[in-house]
Amino acid sequence: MKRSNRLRLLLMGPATLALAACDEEPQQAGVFSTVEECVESKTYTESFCRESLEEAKKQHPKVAPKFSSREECEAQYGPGRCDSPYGGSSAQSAQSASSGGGSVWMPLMMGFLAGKVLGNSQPLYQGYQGYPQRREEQQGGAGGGYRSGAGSWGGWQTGDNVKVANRTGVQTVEGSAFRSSTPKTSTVSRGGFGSRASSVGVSS
Amino acid sequence: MKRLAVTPRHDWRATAERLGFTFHTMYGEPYWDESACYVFSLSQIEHDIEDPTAELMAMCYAVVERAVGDEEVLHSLAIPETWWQPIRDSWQRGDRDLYARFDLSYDGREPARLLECNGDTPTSLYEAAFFQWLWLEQALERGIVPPDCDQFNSLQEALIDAFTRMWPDHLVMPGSRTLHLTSVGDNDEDHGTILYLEDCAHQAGLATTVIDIEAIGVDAAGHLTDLDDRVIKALFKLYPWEFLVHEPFEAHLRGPGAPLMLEPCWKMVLSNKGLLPWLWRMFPDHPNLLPSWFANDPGAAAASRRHVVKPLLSREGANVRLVDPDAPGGGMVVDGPYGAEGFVVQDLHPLPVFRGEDGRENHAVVGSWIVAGRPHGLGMREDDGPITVNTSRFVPHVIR
Repeated sequence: MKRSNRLRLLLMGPATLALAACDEEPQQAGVFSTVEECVESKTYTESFCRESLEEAKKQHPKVAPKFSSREECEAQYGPGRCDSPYGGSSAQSAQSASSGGGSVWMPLMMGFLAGKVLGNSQPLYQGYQGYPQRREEQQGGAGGGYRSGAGSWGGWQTGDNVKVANRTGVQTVEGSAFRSSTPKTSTVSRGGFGSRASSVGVSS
Repeated sequence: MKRLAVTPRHDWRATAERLGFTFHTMYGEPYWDESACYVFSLSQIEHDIEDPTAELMAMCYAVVERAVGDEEVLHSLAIPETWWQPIRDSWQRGDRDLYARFDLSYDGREPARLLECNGDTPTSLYEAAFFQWLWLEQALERGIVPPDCDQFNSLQEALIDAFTRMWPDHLVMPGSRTLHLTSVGDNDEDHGTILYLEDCAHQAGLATTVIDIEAIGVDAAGHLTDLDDRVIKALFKLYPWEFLVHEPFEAHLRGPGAPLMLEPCWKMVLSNKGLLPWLWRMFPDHPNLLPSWFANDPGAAAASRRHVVKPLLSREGANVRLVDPDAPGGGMVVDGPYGAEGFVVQDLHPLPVFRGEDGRENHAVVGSWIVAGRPHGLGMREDDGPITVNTSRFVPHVIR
């Protein structure tokens, strides 16, 4: 026979929806800001809680959303809640130093998501529904403190901006919260491809 | 080889739409046409199409091999000089190519002749690889075609297999092998082809992300990025290399931080009509080649009075001029934006004409598909005119 015996489509066909739904099934998980909270939940052992936190910390620099300025980062995560992992604006990341670019900013890890098994815990970030901030307010407290009441802290979310929960504790979360995050960078420019296709067909 | 009128499946449109074939009708005209099919003998497929395709592909690779050591070739193809070294590096590193389509003029009797090689961005892939296969399965089930019909088509299997094997070790991240796929944002046909390739990549176990080519970004270190600010490690682009090399981000496609590209940049040598005169020069009088020259080569004076003039870089038949003093009007011309880089001249080998039951004259071209260097299937296109263009109808085939 000169043709294939059996072919299928996984993404283009109608089976797609069912498959995607299976992957994303909600599951029981713990949202915690500290190991103590995790232990108090009486759902996980202390060592499980500690290891989940350590795993999330390890993931954090890889999966946290990245920004090229403190302002951009704080607009989404709140004043005082961002840090530059390479020592702030004085030192630059290895990546950007080589090309003379700017520094890299990312939100602080504010908690962690513990699942059924070790090894898939995720760092969590707290979104900020910001009101426009005046600079003096941002710099109001010593050591980068911030004035509460200037905006409101939103829910807990993963590095991929998947909304996980509004409160800490053991609860049902979306399966997509555990989708493994990939390392991110920050884009400095877009739109450098595609201009030649404006009017002509490109396939053959 | 003959053209057989058959009954279309009553539900083919619904089936097409359910399975992502959104471009079965283009510009109000049918593109997928199952009111007929082409019938080949097994010997025609194996001896006249499959074997010559394997041989032609080997000859194409020989031209690339020569090009990386001979600047005259790269120069003749109007490839920018900044890209000569990246092409050499890519070829010498063994970057694998995914697929290509030869357009052959074949009438069932004489040797098939290579009209051109679509080495970089061939479409009509989904139709040939999947929908044509599904048509035969259902046509057999419903008694639309005789029960002993087969088809030359292991394309999808070969694509999945190629995606599985193409991955160099240094790109394998723990738990993730992500392929980005890109095409221009507003083209249904290209987008459909991208989604199909995504499906194949997915079946090969790759994680996939589709992005419009206009949306691709770069980070401070010069890596390409997607809309989630992830670095693009491997990129399938349904977008011509000859466009990319002239666009603002082109430098990000060469050098150490560049993604693994599909097709690799050495495919520029095979997606250029200048390939044809080089094939003819290196393999003169090969039975599957047509005499071809660069238009500015004095040797082109030897071309037949019936010939075709094609731009080095052109797609979908654009700017092709067919010169035939014996034909009414002396030939025909397709309009288009190409031609600035120069032209080739190829002796005319008219496409065979198969008259339909409706009296229509169908000029038929054989699309012979290659995946990872091996022949894997066939797709027929037909047109009312002698030059195959973007809207030429796709007609299924059987072996019997």
